[in-house]
Amino acid sequence: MTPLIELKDVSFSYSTGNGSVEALSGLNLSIDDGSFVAIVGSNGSGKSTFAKLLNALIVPSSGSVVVDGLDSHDKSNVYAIRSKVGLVFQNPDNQIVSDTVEDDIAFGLENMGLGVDEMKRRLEVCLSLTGLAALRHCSPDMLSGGQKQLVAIAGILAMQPKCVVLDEATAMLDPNGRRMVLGLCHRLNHEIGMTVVLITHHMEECIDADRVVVFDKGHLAMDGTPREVFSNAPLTRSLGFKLPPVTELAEHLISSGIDIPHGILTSEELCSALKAAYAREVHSKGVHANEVHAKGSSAKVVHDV
Amino acid sequence: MSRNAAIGRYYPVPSSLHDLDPRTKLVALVVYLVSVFVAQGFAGLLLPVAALSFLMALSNVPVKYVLRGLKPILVIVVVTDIFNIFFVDDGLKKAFVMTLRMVETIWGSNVLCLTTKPRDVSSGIEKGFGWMKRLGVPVHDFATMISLAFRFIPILSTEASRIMEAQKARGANFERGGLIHRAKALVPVVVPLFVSSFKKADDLAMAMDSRLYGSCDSPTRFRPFVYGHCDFVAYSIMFVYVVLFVLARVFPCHLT
Repeated sequence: MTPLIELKDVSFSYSTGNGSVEALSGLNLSIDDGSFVAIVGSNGSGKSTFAKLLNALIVPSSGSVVVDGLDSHDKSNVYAIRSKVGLVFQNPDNQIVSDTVEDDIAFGLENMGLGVDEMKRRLEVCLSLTGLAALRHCSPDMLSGGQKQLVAIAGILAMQPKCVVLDEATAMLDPNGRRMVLGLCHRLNHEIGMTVVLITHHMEECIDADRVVVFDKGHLAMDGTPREVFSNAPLTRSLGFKLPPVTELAEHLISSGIDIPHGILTSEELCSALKAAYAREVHSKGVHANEVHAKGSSAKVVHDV
Repeated sequence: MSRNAAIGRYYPVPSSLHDLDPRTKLVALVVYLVSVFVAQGFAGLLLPVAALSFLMALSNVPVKYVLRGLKPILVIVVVTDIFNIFFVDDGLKKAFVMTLRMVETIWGSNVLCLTTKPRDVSSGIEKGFGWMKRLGVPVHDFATMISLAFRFIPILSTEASRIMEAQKARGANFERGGLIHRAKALVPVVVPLFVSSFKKADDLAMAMDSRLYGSCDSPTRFRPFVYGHCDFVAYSIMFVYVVLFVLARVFPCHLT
């Protein structure tokens, strides 16, 4: 796959009352076209700065951000970059501009100066992609948090970007809203090959990503598939965040002496790993079988709850 | 939430008044306001009331809802009436005229706001003042500001009540004490409200920037202005109104 976004040796610092703070330093990262990348890291690790860099809302203090061949340092590229990379923010109320769903989706298109027919065509496509057609005439005040974020995403989709960046867009949502937003992101990624960059605090949201990138104090701390990243439990814990629940449970089982591999991500994987362990146990000893069986079923119960 | 923002809030019901082009309604409002302020004599003053009653019947907005919008000016009306009646020669007549004018002004603007979406009001204004663009006035930005202000009224009002509840939970009391005491009690509400609205404004500005606001010299409209035949009927009615009004002005029948 070809890289859509390339960050080369990017640093960004902003000035506060007493001196300047470096939010990102020496970051090298490229994001492939059509990939689903999850970015995690604790507060102040530079995730939001990263999101704004991708969208040319800010330009790096040193180094370069190149989106689809366009360098964000060049002022004439700014609008082209913004139309290629759409940004969804955390607070749904603070990014909806208009007083109906339809008008809000059209906001970006009005700014682009498109004709009415083209706007209507794109609006229909976006409404059907996001499943908002029934709410098209609603005022945003009447929608749930999750629905508002869908509107925000639809507004960006209408601009036909190559990449959608969600800057902790699920942080203020209830579980149902989070499911709606994540479901849409994965659908966009699969169906129309949209590149998705998901910045989040919730580890379980990263499991289905192609790649997980961990930020720590402005540096890139880990980078790999979810399995690679979550296999390294000591390092992820030392960076100050919890593993996904199933992985956490599997790690506990491993440390209590059960023979299953590291980096288990889903309950299905855990079940089959436990079954395999159980079979091996029966095969070799046959005595501890009941014990292992009991742990296997409790693991399942814990996840289902 | 909606209680605080009841003044001039859009009331979504289907009606021929709602369907009119916002430009028509704005022109009508201007004609109407001019007529209210140059009116003289009995007929001149009552003509706007008659016109407005007719429009209210057309709008399908409940009368109660329209009249509620007049509440905020009640105090001003009463105070000016007291001054007029007791301290001015021929005060009773002047108080009557003044009251009628104030009520007519607010009432008329209310009917416009209740039947026109804020965004349409602002784009109507944008269209109407479009010629000022040539003088370097950022008309589009002003119109956007107006519609955003409307959009954020309910959001900020929810925010205000949330902060008030938080302060109440820590023992603040907004109901007890005299006027000054109560005003002082509001300071810990107003300050965080200001801070949070700046944060909101900042976020919103970023969201608008990332959606290409300002990228194009002539942004288009999703709902272009198109005059329908309703608008021609409306303009004809306005014409009749102006004629009637001029007649009332030329042949006034005075109150005394």
